[in-house]
Amino acid sequence: MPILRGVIQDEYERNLRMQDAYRKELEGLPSRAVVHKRIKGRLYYYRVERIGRKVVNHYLSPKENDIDALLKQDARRRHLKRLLSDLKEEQQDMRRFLKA
Amino acid sequence: MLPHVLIIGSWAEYLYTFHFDASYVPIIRTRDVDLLYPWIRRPAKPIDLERMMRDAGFVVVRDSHTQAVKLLKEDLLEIEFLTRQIGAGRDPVIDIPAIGMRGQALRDVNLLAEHPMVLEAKEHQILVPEPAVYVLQKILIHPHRVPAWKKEKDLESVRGLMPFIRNIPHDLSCWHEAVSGLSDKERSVLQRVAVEQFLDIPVLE
Repeated sequence: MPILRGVIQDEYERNLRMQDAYRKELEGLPSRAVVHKRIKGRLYYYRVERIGRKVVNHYLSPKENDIDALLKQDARRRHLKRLLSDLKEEQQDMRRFLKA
Repeated sequence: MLPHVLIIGSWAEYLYTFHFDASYVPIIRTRDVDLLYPWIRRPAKPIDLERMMRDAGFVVVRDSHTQAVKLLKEDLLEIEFLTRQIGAGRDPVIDIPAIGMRGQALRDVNLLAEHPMVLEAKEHQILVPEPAVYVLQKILIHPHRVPAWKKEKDLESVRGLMPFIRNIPHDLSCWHEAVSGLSDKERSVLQRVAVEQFLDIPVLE
C-alpha cells in the first residue's frame, strides 16, 4: 500500500513541523501558570513557581500587570501543551505504522 | 478572499463531491490545504492576511531560507499558498503582494489557474479547477511527478474522476476544450501516459 504509506509519511513530517512550530511559540510564553484565589469575594491573581518541593505563589498586582493579557497567555500555554501532547501521541502511532 | 484563490489538491477532490452525484468518492485527503493564488495583485487593495489569520487562531510559520509561508491551525490544517510561474521565471518562491505573503511558484499549476470553476459548497462559493482540467493536469505532470507514491495517487484520482467527467456534458466539453488547447508536446505526453497507464480517457481528436 504505497499510497497509504506515502500519505502517512507526509503526515508524519507535517506532524513534526507542527510540533516544532508550537514548541517555538510555547518558548515565547511565560512558563509559569497563572492561578486565582477568591478572598472575601475578591479575585487575586498569582504566578505559580515551584522551588524544589515548595510551591510559591507570587502576587500579580493589577496596577503593575495586564491581568487579562496574562490570563490569555496562560490559557494559550495550557492549550499548546495539550496540543503538543496530542501531536506526540499521533507521532508515535504513525511511527509504529511506518516501521511495520 | 474566496474569489481570489482556488483550492487545489486533495481538498479540491473532496469539494468535487458537491459537483458530482453521491456515488463519487474522493481519494484520501491530507491535512495540507493547497491554495492557488493565480492573480497576485488582486484584490487591488492589499489584505493583511497574516494578521487576519493570527486573529483567527492560526500560527504563521516561515521557511527560514525562502520565507515561504505556511499557516497552521491546531493539529488540523496546514495551509500553503501556491502561485503561477509566469514567463521565463524560475524563482521557486515569489511575493503575493495582494496578501503580503510569499508562495511557491509552480509552472505545473498554470493550467489549473486558467480554468477556474465556481462551486457552491455549504453556502460558500469556492473556486476550484474544472474537474476535467484537474485530471488533465495530473496526467501531464505524471512523467516528472515525485515521489513515486504521488504518481500512483494521482493516477487513482484520474481513474476515480474520469467516469464522472464523461457523464456530464459540461465537464466532457471542458475536457475537449482543454485538450484542444494543448501544445503538440503536451498532447504527446497525454497520449503516452494514457497508453502506459491504461487510462480510459475520451478519444483525442
